[in-house]
Amino acid sequence: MAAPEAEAECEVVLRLDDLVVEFPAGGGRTVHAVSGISLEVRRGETLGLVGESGCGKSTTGRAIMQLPRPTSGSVTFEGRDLTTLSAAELRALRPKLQMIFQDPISSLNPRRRIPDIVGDPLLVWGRGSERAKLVPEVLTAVGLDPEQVADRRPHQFSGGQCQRVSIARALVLDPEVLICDEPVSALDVSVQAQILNLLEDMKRRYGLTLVFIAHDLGVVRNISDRVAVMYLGKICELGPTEALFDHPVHPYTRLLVSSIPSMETVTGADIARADRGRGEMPSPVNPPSGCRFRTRCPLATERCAAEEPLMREVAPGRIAACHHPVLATAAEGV
Amino acid sequence: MSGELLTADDVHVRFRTRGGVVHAVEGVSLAVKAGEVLAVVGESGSGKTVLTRRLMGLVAGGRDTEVSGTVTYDGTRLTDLSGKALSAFWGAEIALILQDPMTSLNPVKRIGVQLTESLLLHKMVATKQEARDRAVALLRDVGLSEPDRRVRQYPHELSGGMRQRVTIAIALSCSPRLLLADEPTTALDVTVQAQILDLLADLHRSSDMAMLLVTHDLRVVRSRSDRIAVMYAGKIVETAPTAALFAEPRMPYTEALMNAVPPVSGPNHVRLQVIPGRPPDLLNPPTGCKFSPRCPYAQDRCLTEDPPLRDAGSPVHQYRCWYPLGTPAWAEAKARNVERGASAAGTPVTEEMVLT
Repeated sequence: MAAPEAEAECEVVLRLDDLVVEFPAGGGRTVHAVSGISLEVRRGETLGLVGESGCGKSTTGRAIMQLPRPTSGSVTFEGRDLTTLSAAELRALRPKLQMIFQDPISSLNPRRRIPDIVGDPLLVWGRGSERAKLVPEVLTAVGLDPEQVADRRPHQFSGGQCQRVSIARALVLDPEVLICDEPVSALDVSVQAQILNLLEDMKRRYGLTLVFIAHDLGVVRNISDRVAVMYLGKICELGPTEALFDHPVHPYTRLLVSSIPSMETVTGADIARADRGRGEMPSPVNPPSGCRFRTRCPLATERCAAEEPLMREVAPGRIAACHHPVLATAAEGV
Repeated sequence: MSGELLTADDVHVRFRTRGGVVHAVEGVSLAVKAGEVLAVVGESGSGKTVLTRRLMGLVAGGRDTEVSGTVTYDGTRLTDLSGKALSAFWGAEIALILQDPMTSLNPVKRIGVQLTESLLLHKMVATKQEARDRAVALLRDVGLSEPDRRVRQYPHELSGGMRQRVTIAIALSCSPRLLLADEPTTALDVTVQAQILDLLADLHRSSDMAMLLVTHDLRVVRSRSDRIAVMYAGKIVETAPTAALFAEPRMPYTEALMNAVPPVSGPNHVRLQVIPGRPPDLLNPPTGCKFSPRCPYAQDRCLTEDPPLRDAGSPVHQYRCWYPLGTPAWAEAKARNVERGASAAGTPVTEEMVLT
């Protein structure tokens, strides 16, 4: 309690420790979806989780929710290890840990009315009497008119509006942490901005901590305070958003950043092109030895195949898992 | 650069459905010059895909489809041709790449067979052996590793990016002079997207092939197109050379599209410009300007009169708007709507809608 102010600011709400998630792939093989991830999420921040499809970012989000429980490792939320809790204990914690999904239409029950969908969590928790007050309040907060939506069902709404309903449903229990799994990637560009602004507003209003999972780097860059970049089940770089995007230290981050289609006219595009190289992510059934990115990395050496790089501070405030990080002097040359 | 390779004049496509008539494409005129890249940008439901298919002749009039207007390719009026006559153009003169490489390849035929199909059909090669050699060369051109082995593989053995390379190789097999690419990278990861866009740019440069690049993402075409046409509700609402469009958009929708995308440099937590509402319902399109219900600057006139395409200084930059951005009329309209807190269509106008 008597912690100095700096530490109080960085209070950790959620801690992942050596999280591993594996799935059987048939034929005795195993999909190594998430292979030993350690992360801290601080109260009040937005942590972005980016990576290409198949990198394990959604699996990580679901493992936090214990959907399904991870193969090994721990998820500590407010001081309790979720992986060791019984189903009943876990259930009691769920109101504080909510999630919204990519496809807003299929994540709502098509046969139920909007106020019922949003009010259900309250009913489940024996707070049904509060519905009359809280449901209109949260619907208004997400920009829907409670009277207009009273008799409507999900199919009468567009994707953007359904995503608003999902957000309202997640917020009605006043959670601490909201895990957003690709919340805008199914939406049109013009609607995306509405939802992104709404998430920022809701974060402020409800004092939320966000884990924001997405593949769109521009979106993640704008909404996150810190970003973790994932590749093939591992985190390869973790850092403050602006520093990470402006001066990536991990070669994979550099590849990702150089691949962002840009609204600004691209300068030095041809230099970036050399970096993009060839090839795609290998299969998580049979990941490469050592550094998992080495098969596509322009800087890879023998050491990268033999020895797996660990997460370490490669420059002040910059954490990456790489034997040959691209440091500031080199980064400026690019 | 020579004359116009493909011209579309007042193209309309309407589908009769149980729910009513869908006005998918409403009077689109455009021209693609030899060797140029024209980008068509629009959200879902803007009619960009139907337009592409109509240009190629894949959408034709029928029991439930009404078409009008003409499409002319290098002096031949494609819209007058029968399906059989059209097929002489497909592949050989005009080729198409689709969004989803998972479904645009035949799952039960080897890559090599699919690659040589149009070569043999158009009699571009004399023997099967020659076709095979050409197939291997094409796969090498699009950057696939081990092309000798790939020609014997089936589509499911390849990743999404590799499959899209195959569809590009197929499209290029007969050296077409016009390539229509409908969202060629939307289904792909960002690093693979960059590779495919680089590949298309290289091929375009080396072969002087014209390209119509259809996408929903303005960012994708910013540095990769000569001209851009923005579509909304079946119409072209603004068209201009790429640099001019970004420097001086005239139509509020174009500007809003640009500002709705999070920036990739500068500070984070930037407030994004919001376009209220959602893309229009093409069964019941709004009257007047189709964008008016969502436009923060809309006035009474916008709700009743559909603005025609007008020149912005030069005939290469055209737009549809009664109150084009940057003009005194626009400033007045903006001030009026901000003051009354709503547009003429009744849409509340908040600060986040008029950031500029």
